[in-house]
Amino acid sequence: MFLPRLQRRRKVGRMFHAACALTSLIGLAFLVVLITRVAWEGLPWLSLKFLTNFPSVLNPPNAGVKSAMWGTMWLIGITAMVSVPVGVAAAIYLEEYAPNNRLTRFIHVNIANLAGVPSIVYGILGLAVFVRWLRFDRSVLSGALTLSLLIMPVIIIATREALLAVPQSFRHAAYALGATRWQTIRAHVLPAALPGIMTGVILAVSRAIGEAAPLLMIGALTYVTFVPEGPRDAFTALPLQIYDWCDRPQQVFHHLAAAGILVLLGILLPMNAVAVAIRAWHQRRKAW
Amino acid sequence: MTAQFVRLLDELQRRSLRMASLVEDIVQEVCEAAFDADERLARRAIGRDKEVDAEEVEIEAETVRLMALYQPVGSDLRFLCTVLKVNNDLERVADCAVNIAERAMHLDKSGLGRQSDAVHQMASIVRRMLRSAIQAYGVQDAQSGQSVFPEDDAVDALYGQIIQSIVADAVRQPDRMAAFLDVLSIAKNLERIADHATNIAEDVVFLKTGEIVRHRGGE
Amino acid sequence: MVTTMETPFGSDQATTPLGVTVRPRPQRLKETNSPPPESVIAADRLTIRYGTFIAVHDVSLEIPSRQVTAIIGPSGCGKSTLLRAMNRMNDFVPSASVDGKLLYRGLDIYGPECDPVELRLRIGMVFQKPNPFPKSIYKNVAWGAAINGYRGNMDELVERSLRQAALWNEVKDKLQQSAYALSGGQQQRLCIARAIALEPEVLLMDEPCSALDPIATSRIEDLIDELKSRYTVVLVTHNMQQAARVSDWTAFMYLGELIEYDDTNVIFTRPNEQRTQDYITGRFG
Repeated sequence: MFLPRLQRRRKVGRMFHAACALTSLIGLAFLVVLITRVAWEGLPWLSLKFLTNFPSVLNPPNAGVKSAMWGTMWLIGITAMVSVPVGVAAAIYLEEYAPNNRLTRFIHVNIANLAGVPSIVYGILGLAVFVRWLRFDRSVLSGALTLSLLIMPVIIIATREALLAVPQSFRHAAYALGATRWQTIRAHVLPAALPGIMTGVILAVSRAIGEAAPLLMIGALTYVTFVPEGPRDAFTALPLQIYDWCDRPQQVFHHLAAAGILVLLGILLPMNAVAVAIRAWHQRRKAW
Repeated sequence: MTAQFVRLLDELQRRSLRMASLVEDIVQEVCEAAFDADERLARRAIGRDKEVDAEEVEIEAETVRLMALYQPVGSDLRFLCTVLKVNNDLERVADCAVNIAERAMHLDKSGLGRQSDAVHQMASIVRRMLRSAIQAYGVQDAQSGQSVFPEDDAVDALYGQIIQSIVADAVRQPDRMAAFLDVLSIAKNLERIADHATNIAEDVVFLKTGEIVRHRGGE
Repeated sequence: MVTTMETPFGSDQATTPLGVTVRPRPQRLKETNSPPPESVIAADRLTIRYGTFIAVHDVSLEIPSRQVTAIIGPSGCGKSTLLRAMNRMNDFVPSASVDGKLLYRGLDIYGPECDPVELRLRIGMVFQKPNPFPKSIYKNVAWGAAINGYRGNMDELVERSLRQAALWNEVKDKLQQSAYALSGGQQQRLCIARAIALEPEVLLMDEPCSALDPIATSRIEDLIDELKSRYTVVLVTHNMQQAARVSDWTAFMYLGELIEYDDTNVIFTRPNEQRTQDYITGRFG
């Protein structure tokens, strides 16, 4: 004896469907409004001059983001060079080599927690350790190391997920052929996990690009009219420059900030797109 | 799947035993017919042989079907092989019985003559052997079939005696040759039935132990 | 030498050539007079536990050289555990512990002198689900040999292994294609080729056909029959008919114990143990 009530069930389904669509649209709408606003304000100010000039307080129409862009690039370069090898290696050790005991589990939990710590806390840590104690001063090096600490948990977690997703059967097959653990990892596990690792790295690094709080804490300057020549130089970064311009009362600086935001988006969005593309390509190609 | 197979095996065994019982009855009747020269009994035996033939074909078909569909191993496999073999032996026993019946109908008034006692004895031993063998087959006990082997020797010995006796008589009374040949034929068929009973007993040994004990020749 | 001629591996308390006390013993049909086969792997009162659970209990047997030995039994009887112990793949299960002895040509597999990596060069394994690497067919076969420092002509080795695995004709024109382009049965043969590229002495096969369709299964069974002229094969299968078709010796395990181990013909026509009889006729639950 059934009472299917199909009409009602379908109606409930439709309502749920509509609710989900509505919420997505609202989210999308916010995004569209924000970007349109920024674009409307900033696009007119976006030009080659903007990208190649130094910022100028006295002559706003000729201000540019050259120093900020170079600073950002220096930062990201060093951050990537430090955090990626260390993060990936740590994840490989934790996942493939370390025995599964309470200590390892404890470490995993803590890394997950660290990934959620507000970035300003890393800034404070960076100030104390890199700027003061190690005497790196307010340099690109300090900034990069601080950002490395910030994104390393994310890289470790992403790498670990990628390694976990590699089927055990690959490892067993390799061991059964008389391979050592490192041979197995290098020849089969890592290559299979690589797309996932790369996706995680790109996402982590793009997060670092957008961070302003930790850089402020370690004392990065906001008005800089030179390009860093080495890691010990002072610097500024795009988020900081944008923040500085937003802070000023004159309208013209707000337009400059909008243009700066567009530049930042212009760097971040392609990076994220690349990450998504890698993941999609990998999904199609993956046969296991 | 297995429950169904077990049911079918049981059914097959019952069927095979029914056929064995039928064959025993035929042999019983035929022996009486031979001694009493009862033509009516003889005809009945011949009729029932047709029943045996039909049943043999069906049992064989069913056995092959079970083997093909269920791929039996171990004791199930041995059981089905034994059913096939015993089936065959029983059908031959029935045929031998028919032969005896036909010879009995031809016997003239003097009946079995001098060899009557020996033939009686043979028949009685043979009936006993058949009973033992079929009994052993029915309960699947190799031990109880063991008695058959020495009795086969006794039957062979009696058969030898009968031949000698007939040869002696035939020389003296060549005009009664037809009757002597009939008696000889009856004895021969009884001896064949004894051989088949021995085969059945050997098959039961295979059924229980998996050992093939044929052609031991008096072991 | 063995102390009695009745059986290949000695009677109840005999000491075999490998110094192992073996029981229960496999019995041979009395008709054959060929000399007892050489023994390659021997288990002596082997017990394997996962934590407190006893997966393999007090098992003693010997695996004869260049023959196919099948291990059958219901799920969870310990046959895969026993197989994986032979090339120390159990090492990758953290809770596994081993008591008793397991010997490969007299060498204690779990002793300090035995290097598991080296052991796996001599004892190869094929798994239940085909697991080729996500690389080309050529690289799949060549990798194991390459990391173990194969000095000879790799192309020849790859061809030889693929031929022995009855796969060469089907893939010789597409060696650079991904292994994943092959069908399930072909992938499994590729895994076999990969294992025999190392020229092991023993090939352990853990239910190699259970993921394959009947035709692919049949080809692998034919392959196993060819392989036994060169390799000792130990095969775990839950398919009894396969064990009957393919193996020379069959061991029946139940709840971690070795119930009976004998010539395949004996196991399937007149086993000695009632439990074996019940299992092969399907009377088990």
